[in-house]
Amino acid sequence: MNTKQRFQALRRLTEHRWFVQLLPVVFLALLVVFFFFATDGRFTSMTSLKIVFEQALIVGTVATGAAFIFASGNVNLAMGATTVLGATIAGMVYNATQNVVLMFVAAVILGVVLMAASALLSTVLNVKVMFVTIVMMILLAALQQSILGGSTISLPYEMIRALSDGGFSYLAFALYLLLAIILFHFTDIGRSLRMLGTNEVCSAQTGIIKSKYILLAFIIAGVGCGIGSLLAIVRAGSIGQNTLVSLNMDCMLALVLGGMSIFGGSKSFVYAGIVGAITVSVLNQGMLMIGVDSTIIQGIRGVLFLILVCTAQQRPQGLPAPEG
Amino acid sequence: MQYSKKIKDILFTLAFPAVMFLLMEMVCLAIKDRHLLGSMLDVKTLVRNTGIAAIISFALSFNLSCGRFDLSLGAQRLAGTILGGVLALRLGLSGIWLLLFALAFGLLFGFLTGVVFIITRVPPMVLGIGVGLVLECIPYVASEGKGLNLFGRPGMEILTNTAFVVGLVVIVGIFVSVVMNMTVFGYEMRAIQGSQVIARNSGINIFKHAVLCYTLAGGLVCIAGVMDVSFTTQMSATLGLASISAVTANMFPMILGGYIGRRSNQAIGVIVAALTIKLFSYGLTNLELSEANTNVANMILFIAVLIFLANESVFQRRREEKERIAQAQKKKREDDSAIAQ
Repeated sequence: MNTKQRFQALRRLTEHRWFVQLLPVVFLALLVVFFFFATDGRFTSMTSLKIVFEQALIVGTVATGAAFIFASGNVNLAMGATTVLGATIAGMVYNATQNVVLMFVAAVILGVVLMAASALLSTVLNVKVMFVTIVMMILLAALQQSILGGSTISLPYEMIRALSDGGFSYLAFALYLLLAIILFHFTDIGRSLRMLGTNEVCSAQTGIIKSKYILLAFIIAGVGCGIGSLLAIVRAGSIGQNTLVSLNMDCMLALVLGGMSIFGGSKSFVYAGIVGAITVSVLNQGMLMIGVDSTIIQGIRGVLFLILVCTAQQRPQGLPAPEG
Repeated sequence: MQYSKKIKDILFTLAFPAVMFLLMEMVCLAIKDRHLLGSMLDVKTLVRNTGIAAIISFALSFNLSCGRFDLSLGAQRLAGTILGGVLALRLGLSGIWLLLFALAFGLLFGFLTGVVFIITRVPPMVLGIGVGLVLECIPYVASEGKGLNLFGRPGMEILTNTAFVVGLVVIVGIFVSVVMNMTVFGYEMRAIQGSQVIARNSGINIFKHAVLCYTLAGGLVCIAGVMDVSFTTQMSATLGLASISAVTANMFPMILGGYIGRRSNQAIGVIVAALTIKLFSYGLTNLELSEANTNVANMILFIAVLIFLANESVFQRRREEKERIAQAQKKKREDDSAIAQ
């Protein structure tokens, strides 16, 4: 086997569906092993692992929803702002009504409505997705600041404690992940979205209505944002201007570290969100435990992000632009 | 004929800030009983904010015109300005040197981002996150987390001089205008705007062009960064990609400038658009709206503009369709009356 054949064989391997799906899991396992030895076993203590999972839940939920949008070849940067605005409104609803069900309904409905509005702006009103996502990111963040006006919404400790002790966060996430896996891997919705991400022209010619499926992807992601809002409330117990400020970027980071194809398409898989979210959380917690400065942690996350994006994705011939 | 078209184009261009000024002046007088621009300080602030917005819009337009949105521009601005500032202050140099150092660092960071882009070829928005995360760390480490502080530093007065600011914006405007309209680079940009694939097949080096776009954009945002810090006297070394917002907020003048610039050129369009939007924001601030509420109003207006621009051909097509139907109906009526006679 000459060098060229070896290179082609390696390329075939790295582009194989299972390689793409297993690489992030192997990477995560290696990270855990590394931090286990680097912290003399402290990293795998129950307390530490609980922090890792709790940190990963919110990002994982929102990123799982974002996988539907990514799969279709689109990107949405407004999911963090949608989640935070949802949490703010849901918190206000609870404080006004003292009703957990209404808080839940408000968070999910708001998530769905805001994401659907983003989708309609691009599908019905023809505004480019790139512009919609940035405008919505700024608009929703400004709306949240406008509503809060510098104050913080605090929720009753008893309610937060009851939800937390009852395992609400884990249950809500598990149910959403299950729903997402079914929709993405076992229904027409997931297949159509992956087809859209693979080849938009081809999918149109096979009868897939782009606007319908993009709207569905945004609605499913909106449900994720709504649940993410509730998880944020349960975790923090209060919502302020600095709540989840880096959620957008953490979601993108999680999806890429989880092995999601940034171009969408047939190699997309929905559990990339949670795998990536745990990886981000493991990285943060592990590096903090071995005494790495938070500035350096950000730099390492950025470098890792770039390396994984380059190695796990197929490089296009031209430059990635609207038409490739 | 051509003379009257030019007059019309000039009037069209000037109408945007003029109408906005009159509108906000009337609103401010009616509600708060005060003028939109009540003092020279207001005028200076308006000029400075317009200049910053216009220069960031120019920077955005290099990549956005080719369908790329660079999310790391904010981090480039932060890194270039703080590093340039720290270096100039340590060497005890004046504001002009600060500007030159920041420009040099901006060009360097822009160049590096462009090189990473053509090597990795990942979507610019995704790449911008990775590069932004790394770049934000550099000024934080270099300034030991303090950022840049120009308060009380001698030699920086020139940067706050209104004539200097106006001159700088005009120079940048002329530079962008020449680069976009009178060079091979500009010609290639228009070709890439039309179709990247066709441009590449026709022999244009799209990779070299992309690196140039990133480099120029990096330099321009750092000039805007210096203008900003010279007035506020402080630039914090932020982390967590908080630097993005300083750039994304200026997408509006870039898009509106593209529309206004159809009747003149993009550079003039962007400056006029920046002035129009700043007049709007200034009016809302005069009405004692909070910064968040002003942002909400700005973004709603931006969405309205985006919807209009995305659908203006639809309106035109409908108008043409109506005219065609009216003509057909008129012809049918004429034919019917001719047959009846």
